[in-house]
Amino acid sequence: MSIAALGEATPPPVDPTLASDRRQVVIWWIFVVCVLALLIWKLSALNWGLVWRVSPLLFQGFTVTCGLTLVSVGLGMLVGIALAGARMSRFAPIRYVSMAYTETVRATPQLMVIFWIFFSYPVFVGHNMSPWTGAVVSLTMIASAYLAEVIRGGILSVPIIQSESATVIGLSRVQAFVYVLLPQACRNMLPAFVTTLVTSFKVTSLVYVIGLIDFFRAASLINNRNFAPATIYTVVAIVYLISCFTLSRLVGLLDPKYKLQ
Amino acid sequence: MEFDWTIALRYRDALIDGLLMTLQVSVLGIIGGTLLGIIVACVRAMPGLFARRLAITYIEIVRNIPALVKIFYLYYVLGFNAMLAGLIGLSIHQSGYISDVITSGLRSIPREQTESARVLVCSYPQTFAFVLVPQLLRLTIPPMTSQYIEVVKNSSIVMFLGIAELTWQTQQIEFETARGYVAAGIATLLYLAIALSISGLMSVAAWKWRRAI
Amino acid sequence: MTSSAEATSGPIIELRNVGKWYGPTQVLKNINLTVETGSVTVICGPSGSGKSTVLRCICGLEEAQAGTLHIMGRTLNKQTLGDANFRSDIGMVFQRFSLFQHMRVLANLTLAPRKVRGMKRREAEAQAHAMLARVGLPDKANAYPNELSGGQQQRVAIARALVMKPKIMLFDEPTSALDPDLVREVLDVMRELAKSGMTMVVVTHEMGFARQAGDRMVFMNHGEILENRATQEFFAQPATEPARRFLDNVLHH
Repeated sequence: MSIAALGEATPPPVDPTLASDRRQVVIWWIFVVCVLALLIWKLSALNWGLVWRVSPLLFQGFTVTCGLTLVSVGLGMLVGIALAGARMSRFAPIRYVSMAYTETVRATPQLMVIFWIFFSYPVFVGHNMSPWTGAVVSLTMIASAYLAEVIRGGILSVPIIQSESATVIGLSRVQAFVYVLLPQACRNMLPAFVTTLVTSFKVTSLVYVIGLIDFFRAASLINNRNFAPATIYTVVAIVYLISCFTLSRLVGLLDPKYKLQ
Repeated sequence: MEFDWTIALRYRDALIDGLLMTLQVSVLGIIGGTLLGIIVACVRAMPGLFARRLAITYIEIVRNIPALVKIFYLYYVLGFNAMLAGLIGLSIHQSGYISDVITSGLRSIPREQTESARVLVCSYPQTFAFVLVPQLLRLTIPPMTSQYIEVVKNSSIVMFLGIAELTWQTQQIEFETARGYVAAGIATLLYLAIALSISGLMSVAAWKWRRAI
Repeated sequence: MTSSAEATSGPIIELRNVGKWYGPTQVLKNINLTVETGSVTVICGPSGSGKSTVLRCICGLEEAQAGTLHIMGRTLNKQTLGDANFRSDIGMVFQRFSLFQHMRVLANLTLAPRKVRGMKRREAEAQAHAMLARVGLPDKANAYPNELSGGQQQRVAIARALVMKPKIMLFDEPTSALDPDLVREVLDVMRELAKSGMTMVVVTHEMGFARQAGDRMVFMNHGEILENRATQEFFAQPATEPARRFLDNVLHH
């Protein structure tokens, strides 16, 4: 008995890699606390009275940014579905038109797309476009091109064998699409969709150029009036950081599968 | 309604100047973004949890703030000059995405590749230089192409700091002639040409390496 | 250092009470294993039984957390693992993905001799060509790995390990990722190698190969060595129930 026990390798008290990980976690949190303390100390030096005074304006801008994102992504989704369908059409010219549109928009600076709309509209229609309409139209154009690719990617990500199996067990083409292809495609495109949503949220800051008072322009206007760039732009960065981070975590909420990194 | 394409001819020099400025900003932004991205990816690949979390936190912060906010912050708050603020902003902005490209490239190289090198008694620097880096270059061509095109696109926002690149010139032409759509059309073609050249260059590299991977 | 007489006849690999943990799970439990010089030891067992981990500990890719490993009379530790000459005495062939995808076959075979041994290009290439002929691929020197079949890739991998003139060859399931019709060419090369007197430790499910070329059979289950016997004995009648079940599954699937 005792001889056998001697032969047993005594397990190390803790696995060395685990121990070093645990130590590093502690170091990490100490680091985080230090950085946060430094940040709070720095932030306390900012002009929070001003932030408080202008917060209604900032909030109004923020709602414009949110509304613009929602409207442009919503409309963009509709156009995007049409574009993705066209891209997979059996009729070649339709395919090419859709392809040319999505590729051109995706390879052009978003500012330039905004300019297309905003500069050409008065020339062709005769009067100026309201900033809101201009922003909605151009951001929808941008979102639709990206979303078309997201949708197409989602559909292409489902293996052909899935729809083939569906047909083999007797489903019609439409049934196969609705019951087999679509649910899987939606699931697969979710991360890319959320990425596009976050991108759209950030891109709204560009409507600055056509004078729509979104969150970013509201902040810049306040800065022009009060000249407190450190305060204003720090607040802007923090607000964008928190909103985009929250938005990007949406994917884990919508589908628990993606919670695991 | 009128089409006045002569505007393009009249403002030829402005457009060319804008194109050159865009190219300059883009190339420097690409270099800066790539270098910074490599550094972040290296930190992320370092053993230990601390380095990894540090890199991931950096990436999250960089990704979730619009590029425009970054360059305004650098210009108005930190007091960089326009060109530097633009370049640093673009580089930082893209570095988050580029480091992700490199990280997933590194992860897609099978573990057996490094292990084979180790069993063959290659040192770490040798393994890195002869095995990992060449494979990484090949694997990251397609995603890097879109990253670089993204830098070119984002370079347009430096117009807000008054840098006279292509988009700024377009707006200028609109102000002077109210026929900015002509300039926008030409500028779009120029941007497309840049994007096509980048993907052309990258596919030349891919073609050269077509037999391996 | 052991004398040359001992080195050619005594145990070339000796594992004593080796233990290893991944986090809280113990993957190797008190492993004791002796491999004689010039013998072929086949390790088999269900997946997840720790077979590969044993090989990876022997070649220094992973560190045992308990017990000791003696190879060619030297104890494995940081110092010996830092010794390039010692390390290059141990060659290893992986299941797959081991060839450097971005290099031609010739470059794969000359990389280590040139960069580690400092051999001249011409000399390294001559040696590489000779080794390619030995594994039956004399005309593939200029091919890229992905232009070869899986079986050819594995043979190149064997050749690449052999150019370092190892004294021990470790094989980690070298045929598991291959189509059935490509298994044989790889096993033939391995049989040839065994005949030439190379010390080999092979993790494999190819019981035909084990029966023909193996000297000893090691059966592992849940990180433990349950059996370590002469090949004939093992195949005649495995002593333990898990080994019987395993053999039954592998032979009559």
